[in-house]
Amino acid sequence: MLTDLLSSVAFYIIPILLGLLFTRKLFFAWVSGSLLVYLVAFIAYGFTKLLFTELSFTSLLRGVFIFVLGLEIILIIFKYRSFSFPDQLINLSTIKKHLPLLFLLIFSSIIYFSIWRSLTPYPLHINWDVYEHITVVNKITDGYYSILPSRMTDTFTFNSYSTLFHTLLAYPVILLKADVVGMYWWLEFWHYLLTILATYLLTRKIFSQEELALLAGLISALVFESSIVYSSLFLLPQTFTALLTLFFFINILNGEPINSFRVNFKDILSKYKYHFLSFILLLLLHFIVGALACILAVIWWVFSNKIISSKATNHLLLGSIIFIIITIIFNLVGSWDLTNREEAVHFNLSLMKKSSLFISWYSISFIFFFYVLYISIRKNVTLYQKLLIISIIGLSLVLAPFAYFLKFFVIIRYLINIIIALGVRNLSIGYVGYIRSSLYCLVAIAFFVNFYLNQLTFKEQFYFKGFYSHFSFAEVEASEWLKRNFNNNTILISDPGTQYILEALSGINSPGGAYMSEENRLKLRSINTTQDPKEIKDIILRLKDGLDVEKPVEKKLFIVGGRYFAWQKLPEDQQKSFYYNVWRPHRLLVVDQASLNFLTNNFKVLYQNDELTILDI
Amino acid sequence: MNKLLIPALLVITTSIFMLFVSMNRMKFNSHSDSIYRTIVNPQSLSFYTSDLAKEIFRISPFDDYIYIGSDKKHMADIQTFKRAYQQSNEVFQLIRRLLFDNKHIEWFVITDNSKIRYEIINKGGNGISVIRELEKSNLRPQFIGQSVVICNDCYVIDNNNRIFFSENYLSDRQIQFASSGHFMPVILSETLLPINISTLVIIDSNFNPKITLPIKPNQQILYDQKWQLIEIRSLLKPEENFVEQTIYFE
Repeated sequence: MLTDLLSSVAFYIIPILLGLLFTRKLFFAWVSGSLLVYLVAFIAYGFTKLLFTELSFTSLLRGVFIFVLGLEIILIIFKYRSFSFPDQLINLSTIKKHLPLLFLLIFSSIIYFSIWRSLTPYPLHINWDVYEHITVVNKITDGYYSILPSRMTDTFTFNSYSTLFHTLLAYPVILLKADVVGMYWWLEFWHYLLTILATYLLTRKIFSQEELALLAGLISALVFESSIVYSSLFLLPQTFTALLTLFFFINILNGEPINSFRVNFKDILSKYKYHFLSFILLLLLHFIVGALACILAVIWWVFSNKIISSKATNHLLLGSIIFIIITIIFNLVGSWDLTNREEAVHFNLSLMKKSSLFISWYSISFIFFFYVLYISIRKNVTLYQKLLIISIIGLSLVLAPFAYFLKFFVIIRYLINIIIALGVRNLSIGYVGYIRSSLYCLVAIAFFVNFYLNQLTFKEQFYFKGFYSHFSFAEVEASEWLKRNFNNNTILISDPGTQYILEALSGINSPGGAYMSEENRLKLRSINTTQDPKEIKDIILRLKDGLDVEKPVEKKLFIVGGRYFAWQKLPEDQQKSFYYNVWRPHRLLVVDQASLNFLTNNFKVLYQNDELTILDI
Repeated sequence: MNKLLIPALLVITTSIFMLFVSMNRMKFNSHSDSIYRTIVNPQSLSFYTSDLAKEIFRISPFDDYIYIGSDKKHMADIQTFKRAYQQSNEVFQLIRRLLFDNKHIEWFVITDNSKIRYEIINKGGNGISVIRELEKSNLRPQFIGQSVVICNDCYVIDNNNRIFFSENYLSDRQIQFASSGHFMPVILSETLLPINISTLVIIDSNFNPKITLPIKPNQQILYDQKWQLIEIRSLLKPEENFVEQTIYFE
């Protein structure tokens, strides 16, 4: 557990250490360090494929990296030797200044562990997408590499991002030999804290008000988008991109304002080189959310440089309101799935459904948002209007009748939270300290109750044997056994959910994981209709992996258990669908025991616990 | 003065409405698990699938029995029943749940001669415990019949792969169902089931198991197919005034 904790910290520290050689600005150091990490990985992979073919990719990567990191540390110490680090740290006034932030982070940590993680202890997860990312990291540590995840594992049938995210995850695993599942558990905690920190810092940067920043951070801690978005509590490429976008916004505000438009291209490149690198990073982390992030960053830069007049801002605000009204009306015309993917129809939500989700996440706190809109128009507050313009344009995209567009809320939610906090503060500002604090407490309690109920409703579907989790400790034990006894010449076969999870936990390949092809699903389903062991064996042997990157398969393991039998009982249309899975472990039922006995009587049992059995086919 | 009050009132009102909307949307007059929801009705406790689409079974004092000597009667009937209520209102239940994460329901039934407490406790691992307690009663029953009324289209099978039908309600469709599921049909001339049963499983018409009822050695089982009522008759020890029943959801 300690190694995983250290690795999770290393995930953030390693790129910063590399990037500090180029710039002292922490965010830009992280950006440049991350891109350097990605470049080094590709170069190392190229070397092992073309020149040093006897060397393993991960060994070379580890060696190169330790060398580069060592060199970097020496150069950094040399470069920054005049930096009086200790004095700044122990300055009492500095500590006092950051006390509210410290309180916010401690409070958030308590919320996180006592409520969100209360029955999801290390290393259990309730983030379904985590397993596909862990599978890619496992592939990297096994020596496979590509710019696209779908070239590395057939768990990915569609590429929304490059493997930059996975490379960043793989580095601490390679260097510190951590368990990626455990590391990811810690990473989600740091991610949660960073989303709160980012909201706090951005608010303080924009408004220079500590109280407001604290309130915005608190609201950010207590809003959980429990469907499709998952900004703060799930670490995913899109949520990570959104978080980095916020830090990017802060750095844009930290930049020197432009004095004149008479600048040449060389000056632009010099002044904004890290901004361009940030664009590249955001796009590599997520092609679509990253693209939105880049567009919003440009708008943010335009607004922060006061290029647009107050009158033009008024018009833009009006334009954004008209735009969102048009988007809402557009929902009456129809809705579009945008892709041929079967799951797209489930991500194409109606306006009513989206509204219902917003109420689940925010209750009716949007009243504060409308209050800010009202006063921004009535009192012509340009700063508020700029924030509202970006938020309303973002909300328009979110509410548009297209599949997956709700995902754009992953960035917009930060601005919405700030505006809601702004509304609360503006209403409370006229009162003395203790009354104002009481009002803030009341709002905080309302958000807290909503958060508690919302996350509980989300988690309850994963309840099994006292925990909220996609997988059980029995499945962890089975995965450990698989890891010890088999290599990547083995393939696991089971229901999509079991495959997906065990592939991630054990590193052993499966045909498609949760994205098992329809053809394979129908073959697996047909096992139910036969009592002939030879036919069952033949069916399983015909189940094939979709990717050539794997080595020839020496062994096929068939895994059966409560989850598998639960999947077999699903209607055919749900079995064929990517959207339906058996999301949590299931007990072995009395009626399943006969089927299990039949299989164990006809195939060799390699491993068995009270939840699942692994058979040799 | 009004101008000073309005902003505070807006904050207070919005916060209270936020609480109201949150609690109302995520109903906890039931307690819920990943695969079921409990709804407290005026005269029964109903257990539904998690999407509330189908009632799996219900428990009611109107279906439970008490045995006093050779006399068998319902725990509550129309003449004796006064009212039923939860220990406290829904908001208090919710607050208690918020503070103590208390996954249980307490429901009280008042009759002319008894106060009966029903307690539903989520045991974890898909199991619930149903406690029926005669809290204040001048009755001294020897047995309590713990009744479960199952879904209309459900069937009863046991650990020996037998399926039970009443001879009065036997049909070709039911025989065909038994054959398709490879169950051995047992035709009952009365409501009493055989003694060598350790588990009852309730399945639906698609052979999907819905609940499992573990049976103790000293318990008798009665099945009335007309009402889809399963009664598990349990001895009530002299020093005790409650019986406990475990039910597993599948």
